[in-house]
Amino acid sequence: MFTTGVHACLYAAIGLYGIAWGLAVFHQRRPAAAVLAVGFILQSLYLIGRGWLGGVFVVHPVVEGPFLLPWCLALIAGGRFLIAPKAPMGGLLGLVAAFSLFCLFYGKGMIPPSPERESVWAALFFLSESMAHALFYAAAWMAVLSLAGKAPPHAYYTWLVWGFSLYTVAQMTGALWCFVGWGNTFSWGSRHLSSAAIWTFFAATLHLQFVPKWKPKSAFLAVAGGLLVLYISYGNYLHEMRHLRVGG
Amino acid sequence: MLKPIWNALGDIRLAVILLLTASATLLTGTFYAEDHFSLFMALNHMRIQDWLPAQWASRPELVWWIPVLFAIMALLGINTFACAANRFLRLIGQRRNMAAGRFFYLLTPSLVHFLFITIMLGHLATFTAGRWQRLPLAADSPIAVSPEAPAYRVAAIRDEFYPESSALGGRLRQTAVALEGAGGEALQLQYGWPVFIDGRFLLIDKAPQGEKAQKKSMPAGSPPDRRPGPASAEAREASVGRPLLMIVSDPGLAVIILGLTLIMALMIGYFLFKSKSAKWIAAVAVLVLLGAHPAAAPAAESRPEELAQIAARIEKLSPDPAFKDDRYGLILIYITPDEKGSMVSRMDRLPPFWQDRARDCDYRLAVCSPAVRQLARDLFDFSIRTRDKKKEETK
Repeated sequence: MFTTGVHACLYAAIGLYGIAWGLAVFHQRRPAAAVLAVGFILQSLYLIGRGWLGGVFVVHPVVEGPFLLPWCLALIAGGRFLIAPKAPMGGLLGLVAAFSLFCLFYGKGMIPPSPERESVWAALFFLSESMAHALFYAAAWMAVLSLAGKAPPHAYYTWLVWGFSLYTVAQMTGALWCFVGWGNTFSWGSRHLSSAAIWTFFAATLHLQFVPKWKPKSAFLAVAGGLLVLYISYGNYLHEMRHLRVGG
Repeated sequence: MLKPIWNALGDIRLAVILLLTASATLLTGTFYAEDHFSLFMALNHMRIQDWLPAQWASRPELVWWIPVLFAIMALLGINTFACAANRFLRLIGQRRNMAAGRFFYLLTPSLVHFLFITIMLGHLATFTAGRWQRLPLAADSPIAVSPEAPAYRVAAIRDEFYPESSALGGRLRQTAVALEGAGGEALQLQYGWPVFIDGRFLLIDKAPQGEKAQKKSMPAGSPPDRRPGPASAEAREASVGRPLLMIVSDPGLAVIILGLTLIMALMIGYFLFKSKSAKWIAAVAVLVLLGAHPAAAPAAESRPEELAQIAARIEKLSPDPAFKDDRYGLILIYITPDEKGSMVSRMDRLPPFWQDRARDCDYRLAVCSPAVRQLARDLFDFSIRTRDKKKEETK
């Protein structure tokens, strides 16, 4: 793949995401969307190129969380622009720029995959999990805006609903991957336990909507949920930085 | 006596508290599992009733959260059942008044909750009745999958490595194990590709040292020193590990996977349908309310208490947040064209409360069939006539 090991694509995408954010802050929606689209294409090429980091195609580096998350956020921001061109873009693009900045400092190589990692279920798991995380971060940001009075009171709810639905997809694909790889649908390891903690937390947040007196608190829980996801997922990513990496 | 207990058990506030407590307990468990990896990994291949008493006796300070988690999940199961059953029975009572499609749509959340209970029971079955047997794999060795079935023989073990020319050169890519039955039947096993025979799954697992080699820390030295190249013979051996055959009997597996698949499909279907239909359903309700009530007329300015009642009724009718659009707040779709200048075009004449509320809303004329539009018009006219009639009677 011609973009394998070409980090310029990633750096350019990060720069473009930053520019798109700046344009959105100054209410230049269309130019912001155009710049975002170019950044998204470049990052897509970079992600595909990561598959060949080891010289043969391996799926796992393509769906590695720190690199996939900004891509998911960019996809969501782009999709939102297409559906609702007049909707504010600044917040979402700020998230895209912030999370993509982390890629600058993160190990670009790939963790040598074990045979169990090269399962289609693993790829589906990481894809659905990253997309769910992206929606949870978007929901947390919208909840912050709601609490600040700069967005309607329950603006974050739709994001939460879709984040939770996709996180349930991740639970299913993860359970299948775990079973075909290790013979369990639930593993008593920190990864599975933290994943279940996130799922139950957001289930509680969604149910809060149906308790009229507690409903106003759900925005706080949406923000707390975003922070919980950040703490758990980026804690794992930082831990994985110590692993042996090849290529990149 | 029983009804208050049942109602308390089915209280949604209890569900929220239990879910948050479960989340906190799971998060606590995360820290223990990270610091005592092998202790908790052993539970993956043991029944909980065999593992927990021994660990509880020797190190209760590390495992206390597991019985707590089971207790919370049991309570959550009871709460979910009571809550979903109440809703289900209420819907069954209203079944005659609604179309089959709408009935199923409204039933979906209850089904999702029943499935959640089923999945929890599936996990309980796995934890308490699952069996995991690990056998070393060696060429020509016999493998007894179950006492009733004839033994298999390991015909061949073949490791496949990444090409030496690649940065992953010499690392294990896949292992294929060929098993041969007494009757000559052949089975092929690979990592990530289990085989199901005699009610059991056969998987290849790796001895622990291989896993450690995969996750070893970054070696010291500047980045160029760590650049890829063909792995050493030692690394090659470490990456292969010692293959083991795992024989798994998991009575909860089918329930868990089927339950998760159905939950996923129902949830996505429900939310997709809801985002399209809820606006219509709620909008018609709002239309009827606004049309049937003097709030639609300028005279309503003098009746704030009635407006407050309407607001409460609308909240009850459309508690569904999907009805709210995060771009505009509340979307109200009206079906009767606002030709006479009432609810949409004369908002400046509304009381302050409604003016504030209207500011967050987006009012749009619905795109609908002439029949529906006529129905809405008739309802609106009927309510206006009723209001005028009442006014005359009062005079």
